[in-house]
Amino acid sequence: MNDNKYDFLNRLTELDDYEIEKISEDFPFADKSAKKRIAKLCEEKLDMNNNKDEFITDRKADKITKTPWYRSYALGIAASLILVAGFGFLAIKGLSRQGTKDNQPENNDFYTGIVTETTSVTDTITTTASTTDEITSQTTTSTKTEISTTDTTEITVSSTTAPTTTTTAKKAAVHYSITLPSDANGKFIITFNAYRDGNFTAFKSKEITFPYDQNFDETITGEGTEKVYVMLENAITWDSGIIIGNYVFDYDSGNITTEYEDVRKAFEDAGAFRDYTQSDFKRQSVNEFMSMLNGIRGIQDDKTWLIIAEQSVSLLNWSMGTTLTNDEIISAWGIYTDNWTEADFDSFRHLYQLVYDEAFNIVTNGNGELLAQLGYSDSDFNFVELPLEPMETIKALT
Amino acid sequence: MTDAEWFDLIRKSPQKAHYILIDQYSNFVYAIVLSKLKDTATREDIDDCVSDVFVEIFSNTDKYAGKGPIKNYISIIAKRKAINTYKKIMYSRQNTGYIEDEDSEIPENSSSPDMLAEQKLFNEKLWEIVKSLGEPDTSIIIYQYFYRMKLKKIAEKLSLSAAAIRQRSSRAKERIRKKLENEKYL
Repeated sequence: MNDNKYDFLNRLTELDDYEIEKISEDFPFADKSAKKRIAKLCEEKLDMNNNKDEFITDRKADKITKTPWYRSYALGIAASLILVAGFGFLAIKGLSRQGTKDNQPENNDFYTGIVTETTSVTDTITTTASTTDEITSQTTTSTKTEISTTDTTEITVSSTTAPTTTTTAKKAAVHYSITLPSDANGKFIITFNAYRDGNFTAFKSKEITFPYDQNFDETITGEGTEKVYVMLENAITWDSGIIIGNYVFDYDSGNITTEYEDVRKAFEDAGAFRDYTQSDFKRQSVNEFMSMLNGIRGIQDDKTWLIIAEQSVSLLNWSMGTTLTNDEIISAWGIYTDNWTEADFDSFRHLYQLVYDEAFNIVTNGNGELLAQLGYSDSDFNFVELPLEPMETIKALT
Repeated sequence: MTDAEWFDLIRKSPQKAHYILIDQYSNFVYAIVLSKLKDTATREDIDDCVSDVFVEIFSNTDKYAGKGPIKNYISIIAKRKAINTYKKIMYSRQNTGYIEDEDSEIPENSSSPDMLAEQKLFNEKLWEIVKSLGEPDTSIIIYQYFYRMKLKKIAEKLSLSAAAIRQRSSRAKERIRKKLENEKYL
């Protein structure tokens, strides 16, 4: 590096954000020890409660050291605000909302898993023997009712009786336990599946996170005997359907008969022994962003949509530091075009808020007049009169 | 993990949520911070800056929850923190009060539009050539010039001897230079 002949190589650090992100994915810098170091530093800083002071210090430093470069950055972001606000106005004109949850998996066992893990650890550890409890429940209008028991285990009770009757179920349990691979990475969901009422049903799931979890223990309640498939799902890549093992659970005796089990292979197939990259999370970003775009109604022709998609992508890449390409967005957009719902007004509003917050943070820090110069006022959200600036105009401002 | 899941997790198990975010995004943050700070900062400064980025996220989850992809916040905060770290380093080095002249900024966006366009073209070509080197040469150049790692560290990372890294680096640099010359970029 001290060889001047090759100084031009230092310009590798001046690549676009997209390339920098690619480098971070393809040539990861932080090994496990670096990550642990960062985690420890964060812990210390949070413990010392220094974070707030630090943030204030940074702001003060910004204020004192603001330069023309910084001003143009602020100007640019404020200008981008106008663009987004323009979209926001379009959105306000024609939208109602449903939110980004549209893109979430319908099965929220993952969340249940977290709750179970964090709130009932003692239950899980202590309930290792077979137990019999009497559960009294009130069935509702369907023939299939989910009942949450006190140890947070979900039980599916089939009832052929008429609605609003009382069902009594006898519950016993088996204790399922596996040792997790010590060298695995990532986050996974283990799901218990069985044939119940003629359907293959996932009846319980729980989340595990490496390197925190070394073992997996779960007490499963049920009745009689049933064949259970324990399956693995990668919570980051959503690779799913990977079998850890097939078992016969005899709830009455508390015994588990193993028909097949290969824990390591399952985790290997689920990608537990590789480093995750930013690409793994890109799909999620695309989905979230698409749900925002989907929310803008009132514009019917595809060409206009395409332009808005491209401008929005450019806007996000430029002002918000994302790295989505037009092709990624447009491709994802094509998938969702037929599936537009009333959703996403709020999502879009959040995008607007995101830009607004950043603009406000920067610009009002001694430079609030820039907003005023741009015709923008914090208290006056009147974007109706503002033009929808093309990206070229916005870029020219910087 | 989706952002919504992460924000859900941080309410229930903050430490776990912290670790997951660091695990997922530390390479991204390091890349941004290192690209801004270049040779100006020590490893301690860089780690400090990277950890500051996460601490800000962890301390303001209510502010960020549900307002868009968290990656965007991380990217913005990383750039901001890197700029502030740079200012602090320059301040402590010069010890002449706060930095007020333009030269004190991280030197970017200071050229004319034509120059910026030329630089962008050059950078794109440079990146294209570096990528075309093939492994392990591409990695060596990236770790050496983007991440500013010592040859010994690169050798450990790529499981090669330091001598092999040095030799490969020299040849790769020469290949890059010749290609740039042939295409009239130098």
